[in-house]
Amino acid sequence: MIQKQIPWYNPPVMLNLAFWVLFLIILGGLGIFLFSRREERSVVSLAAVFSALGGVFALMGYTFLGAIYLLIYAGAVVVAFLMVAWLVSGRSQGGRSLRWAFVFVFLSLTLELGLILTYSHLTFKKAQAPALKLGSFFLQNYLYVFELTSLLILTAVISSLVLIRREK
Amino acid sequence: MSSFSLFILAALLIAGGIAGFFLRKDLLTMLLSSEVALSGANLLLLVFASQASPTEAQAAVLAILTVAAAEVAVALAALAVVIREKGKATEDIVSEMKG
Amino acid sequence: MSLLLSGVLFPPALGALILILLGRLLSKRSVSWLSPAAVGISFLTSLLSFFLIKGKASLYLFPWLSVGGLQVDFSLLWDPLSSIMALTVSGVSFLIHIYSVGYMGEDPGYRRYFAYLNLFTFSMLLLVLAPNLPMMFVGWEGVGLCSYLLIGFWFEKETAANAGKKAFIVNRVGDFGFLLGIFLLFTLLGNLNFDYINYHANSLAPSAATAAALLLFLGATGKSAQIPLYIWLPDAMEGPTPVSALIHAATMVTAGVYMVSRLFPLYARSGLALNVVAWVGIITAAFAATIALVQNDIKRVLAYSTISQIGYMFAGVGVGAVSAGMFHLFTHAFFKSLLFLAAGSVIHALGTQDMREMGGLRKKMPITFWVFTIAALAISGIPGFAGFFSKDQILAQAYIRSKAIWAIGVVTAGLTAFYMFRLIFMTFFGEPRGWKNAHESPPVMTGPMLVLAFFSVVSGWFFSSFHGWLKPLGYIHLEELPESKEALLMGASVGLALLAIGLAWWIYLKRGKGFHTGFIHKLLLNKYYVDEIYNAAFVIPYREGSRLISRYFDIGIIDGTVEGSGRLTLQGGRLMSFFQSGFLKDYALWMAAGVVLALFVMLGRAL
Repeated sequence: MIQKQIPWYNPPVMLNLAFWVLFLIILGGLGIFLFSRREERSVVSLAAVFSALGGVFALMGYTFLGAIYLLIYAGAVVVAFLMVAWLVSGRSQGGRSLRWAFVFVFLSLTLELGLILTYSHLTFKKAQAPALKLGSFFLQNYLYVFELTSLLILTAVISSLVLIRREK
Repeated sequence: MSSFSLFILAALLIAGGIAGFFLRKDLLTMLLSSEVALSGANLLLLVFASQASPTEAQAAVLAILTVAAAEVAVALAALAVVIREKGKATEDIVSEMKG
Repeated sequence: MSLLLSGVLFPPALGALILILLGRLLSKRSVSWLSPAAVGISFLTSLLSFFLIKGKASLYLFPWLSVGGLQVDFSLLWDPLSSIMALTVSGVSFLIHIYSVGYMGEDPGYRRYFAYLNLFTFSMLLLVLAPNLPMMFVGWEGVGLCSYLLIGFWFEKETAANAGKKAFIVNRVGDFGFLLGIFLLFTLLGNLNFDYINYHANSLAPSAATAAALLLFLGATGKSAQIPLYIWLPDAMEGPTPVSALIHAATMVTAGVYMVSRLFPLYARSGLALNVVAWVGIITAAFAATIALVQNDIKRVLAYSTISQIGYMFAGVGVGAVSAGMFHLFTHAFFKSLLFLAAGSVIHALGTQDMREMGGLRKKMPITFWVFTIAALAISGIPGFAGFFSKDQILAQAYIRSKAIWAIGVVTAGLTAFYMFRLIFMTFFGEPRGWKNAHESPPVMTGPMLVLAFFSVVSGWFFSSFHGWLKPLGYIHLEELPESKEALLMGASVGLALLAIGLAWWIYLKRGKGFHTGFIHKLLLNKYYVDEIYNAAFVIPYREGSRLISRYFDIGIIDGTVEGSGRLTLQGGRLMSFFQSGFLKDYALWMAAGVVLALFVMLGRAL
């Protein structure tokens, strides 16, 4: 629908542009991460990095992977790190700016996710490894890997719980 | 979005991750930078493996991602214990296995 | 029929086994019945076999060794020679077992004693009934072991423990020669059965036969206490007296003579070996007799006497008169063990072994006195008693082959009579010197002594039957002497003996005290200082050499190497710990460096 109405609609150019934007975001995020004094800021900047990276993956054609990156890395890992960072420094020192940053991040994440899901057909390589094919691949060729990783997750869960336990 | 620029991006991510590991003083950000480096490696893997078999490439990266997530869980738990015991988690706190 | 032979060998073994394993559970009474009974059965079976088995018999038990070219079977041989030995061994052992019930009655190690005694009897019978050298060696070692165990029976006493060790070690030296002899014979002949060796002895080169014979004889000097390996026997007197009677008078020490008699064709093939045997024998006889002259310990006198008498046996065999030598072995078993048992009777009553503290026991211990006298008369070669016949035969045969040997033999006979009666006069006559109460021994002890006394008289009368019995062996013959010459020789030795007895009577009874002529007396009393010489020549150099090697080689080099490698590892570890700073970042640095290096290598290879 949009294709016909927007004049500057030119998929290759737009995708290239998107890529370079993401590239810059990653660069900037890394910079902040490396040189920031405040741990909280470092961690949050990395949220941007990961989400941009997810976008890059999606642009390459790996839409599933990109979505996963967004959900897991930007969504879970960074949050976990943030919570541990709060453990060290007491509660957050960000105050209002942090709250705004959170909102921004949340919104951008959602936007990005939506974009990926909607325009997956617009990526550079047409539907590289669609999720369906991926599923059957895992269950046929990579079965052992699949099972082992599930074992690994289980072990990780149990170990982290055991580690955290306070000695009576 | 050529392979070359993707390759550069991957290299930057990896370098950034390693640099972060050495530049930072607290364990938390050190850990995080190792994650960054790992992601860079993921990208690298994808770039090169796409030529051969895209499905397998994505599957491999997903497996790596799983491992990374599990590792983060355990590492954070250990970190939390260190913080609880010692108060802070800087690099010199856990140097008891000296010699 | 040959199955009977198992009844000869196995009862003592069974007895020993039971006593060793279950001894603690048995009462003293059961032990007193079981142990002698085991040997008694052995003796009765020997007797039965003696009468029932004509000629040779062998009992095959099981194939023992089959290694390389060596085939040795475990079997028992019953022939004229082994039958005589088996009878003597089991008979005398039986009597001594009974005697021991009385002698060792109070001893806390009662059960252990009888276990060892049974084990000894078994080993000795094995030695005697063996048809080949390896089996004989098993018995040889077995009696050596039991000798050690029994000499050192009262092991809490340091002198006894040392005596046991000395006996075993000296024996070992001899056994070394014995083994080398066996090896040589195997190399030469390929078969170690006595029949085979004797049959093929003449196919050997004389030098080879000499070598083998002399090596085996070295073992014999150890076991039978001849020069140069006799030194353990006097010390062996530390053991209980019945042990001395059985092992060091009648049986074990005669094993060497038996061995030489068994392999006589081998020795005959080499004239040199036979000469060596004869001369070593007669010189040892004289040598030991001189030492016996001045000893004050009653058992020491008898020990040296034994060494001396065995020398006679070797001399007899060495001059070619195997039957004479064996006959002396036979009679000697009776009167020598009797002498020891009687001495034991005295020791048991008085509690001392020193003759200077005895005297006047004749009235208090009449039975002991009379049997002692009978045995002394026998050993002195007084006509009518056993020793006369056996010793005389040896001397007569010696006269024919070598006048020199005969002369030494006669002089020794005189010395023998002298020291024997010196012993009797000092112990049983004169005034009591120090002891308070003495009583005769109980019947369980006097009984065996009387039996032995009977045989000490009677056994001598059967020389011609003895000689005839051994004839089938093939290498038994005696030279003939004209009647007159023989009578002359007899007269000479008997006359000398009587003279010696008279001299002893005069010195020790008439004059009341012995005579001590300074230097010579000291020399003899200290056994020519042989033990001290051996100590300086062998023991000390060996010990100091070992100490040196231990210090420089064992501790210095070997320990040094081992410790050195340990130290090296430690240093290496210390070097490595340089890398272990404990710092996470340092580890990461090394990892990164490694990765870069690997990358470069890979790149280099690709390009």
